Amino acid sequence: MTPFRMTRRDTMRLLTAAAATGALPLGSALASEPLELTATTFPGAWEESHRRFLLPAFQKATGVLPALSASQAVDTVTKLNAAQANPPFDVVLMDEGPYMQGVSLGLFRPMVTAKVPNLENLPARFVQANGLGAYVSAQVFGIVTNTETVKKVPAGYEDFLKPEYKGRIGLVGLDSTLGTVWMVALAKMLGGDEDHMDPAFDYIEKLLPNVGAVAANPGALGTLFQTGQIDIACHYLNNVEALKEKGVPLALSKPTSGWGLVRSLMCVTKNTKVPELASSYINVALSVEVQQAMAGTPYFIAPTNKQVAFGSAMAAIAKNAGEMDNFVQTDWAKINPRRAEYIDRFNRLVKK
Amino acid sequence: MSQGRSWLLAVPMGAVFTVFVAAPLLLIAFVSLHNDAGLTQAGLHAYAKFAGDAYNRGVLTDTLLLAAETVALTVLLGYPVAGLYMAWPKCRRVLMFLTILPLLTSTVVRSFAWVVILGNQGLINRTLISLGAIDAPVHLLYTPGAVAIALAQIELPLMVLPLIAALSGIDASLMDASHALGAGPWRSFRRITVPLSLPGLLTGTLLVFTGAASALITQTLVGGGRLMYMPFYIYEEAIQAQDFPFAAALAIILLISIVLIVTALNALGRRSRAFVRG
Repeated sequence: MTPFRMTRRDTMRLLTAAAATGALPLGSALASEPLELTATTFPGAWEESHRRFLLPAFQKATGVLPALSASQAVDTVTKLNAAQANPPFDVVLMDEGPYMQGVSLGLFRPMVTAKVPNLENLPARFVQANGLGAYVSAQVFGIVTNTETVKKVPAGYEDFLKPEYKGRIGLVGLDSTLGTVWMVALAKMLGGDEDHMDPAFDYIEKLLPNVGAVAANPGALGTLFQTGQIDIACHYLNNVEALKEKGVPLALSKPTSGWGLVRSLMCVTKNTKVPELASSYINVALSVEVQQAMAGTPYFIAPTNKQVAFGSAMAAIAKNAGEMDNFVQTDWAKINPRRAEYIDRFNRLVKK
Repeated sequence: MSQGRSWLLAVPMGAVFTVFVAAPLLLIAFVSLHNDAGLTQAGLHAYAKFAGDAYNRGVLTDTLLLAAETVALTVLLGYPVAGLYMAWPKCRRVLMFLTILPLLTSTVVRSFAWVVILGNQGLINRTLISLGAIDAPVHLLYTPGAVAIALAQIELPLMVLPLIAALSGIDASLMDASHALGAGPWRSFRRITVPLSLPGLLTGTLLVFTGAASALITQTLVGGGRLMYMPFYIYEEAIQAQDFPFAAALAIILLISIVLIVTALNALGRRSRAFVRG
């Protein structure tokens, strides 16, 4: 064996190998950084409409084209929590439950309000008092049925239990926002609430013979309708309208217990390097121009800016954001601490 | 490069392995040994929680069973394909292309194709209904069988390629000798082909088993929300329930289970290689 001796070539080889494995990330650090913004959105109608309307409008306003990353709110919270000081996103789209989780984990910072003049056009309840977020939309959910195969539309969720719907009902897991808010709506319909969910779980147990499939996430409900696996479910208006646009024969109807409401907000992440730019992004998301476009065909994402009137499919549900006050809502502050318990209980119930 | 410095060849892979595989694994093991998500209290609570609950053990058993079923299916489907490859030298390029074709498309696409085929309005149900064989759609999708079939198709190349390699190494005159001595094709297959191709079969089994046990996408898309396997359980506990110690414990338990099975198969492999070399 030759004695160990590093030649110049060996050194170069080692350095090349080290650089290739990312041990020397000097190149990127030395380059001057242009102004960049990374935002999250939800997959599906949200991502499509954000790419189509929000990004161009933001680029027009600021000259910056943001990078858009589709990520479910719970995933976003986990990613932000893991990254801490160096968040992968500057501005994030949240559901209420994950938002509260994010607040308790200290993941958000107050918006730079000077950069968000559109906050003035939001009803007060659509702005978080702590300034940590602003509601950019409200999603409505109700009963969705396949118009070709369901002759008699269930009037309320309690009708799902009727034997005529055997094998035709679709469920979505409690690990999703939709699954959770539906369970809360069921509990409220049956005399319970966020802290008393037993009636909802009893209902699901009775419903099981009628369940055709359980979707792993809300998006998968669309697939289940398209493949004929299910004909009835609880789903969001905007998803239903998007599926209708694609030719899936669906209709949304109001349950006897009332429409349900889920609100989504945008927040600036705590350690972002561009808080002002991120706040401007929220401002553009709240603008009449963008909200009007996103509320239209085929996205139907309900606006929160009170200057935007509801059109087409949404006009049948409410005239404007103010009318949604009476819809069934979820108190996420109560649900969040028990979420893991409820997810587990649901899984054990529906698992074959 | 002289032999003395050949260790340099291992540096890039070694560095990648240390930083991106070994370190994260150690971190997961470390997290799993805590009783709370804040990692303030060390303990075995997560493992006790797993072991003390039949539901959790059921998820692990289902996952390992699914992988075993997938292996069985790929063996049943893989031998004929590999045999065809050996028997038809002229068609080898086409067969090889068809074998590796599934590897060229994304798992999402391949899994989704099965959703379309097995659904209530899918290819199979529509064909059966139009033929008058059934009145109402048969429930095919979102069943453990559907997941195993889809995984078998997706993982098949990983079984066929090692089998082809093993079969190519068998002396063709052995089959002639077997035939001349009066053995039928089935007996020759059982007594000559299978034992001599055992190393390939074991390699294929290893690849398919580990692939099927951890196939999050196919398990979720074809299995639906009612079937629970370890990969999705880990995802759910980590991301949705944010119970990091339990998610980490699930990951370690799955890893150890697979490693145990792989070690057993390897031991079998060493014996079979000794057998092949005589």
